[in-house]
Amino acid sequence: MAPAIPTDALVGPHPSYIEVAKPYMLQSAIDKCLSDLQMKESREDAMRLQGVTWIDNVRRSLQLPVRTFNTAVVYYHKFRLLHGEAEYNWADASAAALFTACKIEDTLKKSREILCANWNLKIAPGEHLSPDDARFENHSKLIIGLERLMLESAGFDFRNRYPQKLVVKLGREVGFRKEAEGATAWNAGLDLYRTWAPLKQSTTTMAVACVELAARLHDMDVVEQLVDRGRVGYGKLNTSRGQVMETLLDLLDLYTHHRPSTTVGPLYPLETFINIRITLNQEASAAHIPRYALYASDKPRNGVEPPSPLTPATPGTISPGTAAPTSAIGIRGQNGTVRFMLDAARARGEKVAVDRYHKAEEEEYEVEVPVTVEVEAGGGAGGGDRRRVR
Amino acid sequence: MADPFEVRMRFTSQLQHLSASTTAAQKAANYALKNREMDEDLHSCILEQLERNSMNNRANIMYFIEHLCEASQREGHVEFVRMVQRDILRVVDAVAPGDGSGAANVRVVRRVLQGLQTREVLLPDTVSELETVLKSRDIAPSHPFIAETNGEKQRSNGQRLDKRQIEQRIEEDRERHKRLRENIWAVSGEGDDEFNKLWDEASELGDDDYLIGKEDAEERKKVIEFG
Repeated sequence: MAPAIPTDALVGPHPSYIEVAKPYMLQSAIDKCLSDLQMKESREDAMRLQGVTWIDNVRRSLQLPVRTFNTAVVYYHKFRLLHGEAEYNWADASAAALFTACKIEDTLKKSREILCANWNLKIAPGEHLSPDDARFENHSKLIIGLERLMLESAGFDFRNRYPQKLVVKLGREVGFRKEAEGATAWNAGLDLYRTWAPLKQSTTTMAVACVELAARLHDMDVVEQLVDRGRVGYGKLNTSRGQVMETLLDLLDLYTHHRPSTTVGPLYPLETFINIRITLNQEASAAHIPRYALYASDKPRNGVEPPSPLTPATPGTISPGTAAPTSAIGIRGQNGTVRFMLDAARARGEKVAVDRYHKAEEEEYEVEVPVTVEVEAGGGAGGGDRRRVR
Repeated sequence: MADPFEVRMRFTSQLQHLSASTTAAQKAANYALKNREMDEDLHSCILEQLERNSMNNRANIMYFIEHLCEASQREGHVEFVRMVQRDILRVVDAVAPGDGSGAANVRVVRRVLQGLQTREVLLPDTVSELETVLKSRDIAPSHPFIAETNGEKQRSNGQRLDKRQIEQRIEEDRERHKRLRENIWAVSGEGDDEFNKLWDEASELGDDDYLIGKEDAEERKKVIEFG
């Protein structure tokens, strides 16, 4: 029996569960979330594309700026990584994401206005309703209810990205013409939000990738003019070929598989995208650039292969901050308060300090104990008995 | 063809129930235009309500007038506009009276006058004349700086603002304020307006962009390190 640790002498803090906001998530973490939710790839694609299109259409009709679109889409993506399909309707999630984003980006719109705008998009101008129409009443409350879940899914992290401005600056820097390459880069930026890139990449990486893709689509001499050159050099911009490549390939995946659902896609034939893809694949193979960036804990150790993006990583390589399974929202609250933090290092430090109170320290060690052996018929063991003392 | 008496009644009721919401104002404006054959009558309703109702309501009617002018110009029925031009002084007198009881409304009047000038409903000269009239009405006689020392406060023409009205006015002003702020960020959803604007106006690629890139990259490295 373990000697009792006098834990009544040490009263620890009330147990709580810390949810750390992740400013970035890599593909392996995203895939793990989706597999935990048992979300099929084709279904996920469809929901993702429909949702982003919904948000884009409604935000345009409400005259909301693109930064609200950016924030709304990111919330929509993050929400879908934590909530199973059966829990909600994707259109409601889109509306709630947009509603939340409006508040965060200070471009306020009432939930009724958002629902009304969506409704009016589908009917003739003569029959347009006004937002205070009673039919939006209940739905509007539902959206407001979802707002809290949106904020939780995003971990109350309000650090938002706005790559479009950088796309414009970079485009001008490398001599794009506004109506040609410039417009393509801008639209590629919007399409980029239909992929997972905004969760994975920094603002700079996203902007650089859009600019490069636009240049390739317009047959500019990309390598000579803008990849890692001068004022748009990767060192200065603090990105890397690997990150840019992953983003370019994400975009090309989107264009090759879902061309009609994008803004830039329909403007070019499928072959164009396939050709660009081939060129980039060749570059990536030659330079040994992995398709997806890996966490440090994913990297191969002792010859163990890193988990491929489609298979869930083994437990133990998943960070404690990774999203918990579907019903975790409820479960984690059962063991104590749920707290949201932004600083991962601080959360780790706190965990170490708090664990001292919550884990009884146990040691196992073996001790040789001399025992007077009462010699029995069979003869005892020589020497001492070995007993395990805990 | 609706009964004229009923139309007057309905319109009057709409005016009395105006709020800060633009939808209410637009509905009333559309109703007026729908019954444009009674324009003189409806205009007299407006004047009547302006001279009869609370200060809050008069402020709401003032905003409504702007919507009415916009709708009239849009539908090409300028009679309403003409009548507003004719009677603008009477309107201003009702919304921001000379005795200072409408001090809270002076700003409202100014804003709407500016709006009407922009729409070319009123001439700039007219607006400046009205402005001089307004200047003296900006302050209520019960204001501590000019109050009579005999301590009589808050009674001007028996128009005492009760608490509920004050609260309602605060709410409505807040609502209107939110609407106005929209002009700061609202962009046309059409085509590439926002893109064009940003292309023309954004600053050059510079040190702050590089710095943000550096900070982002460091944050991302940490995430990769610690998962």
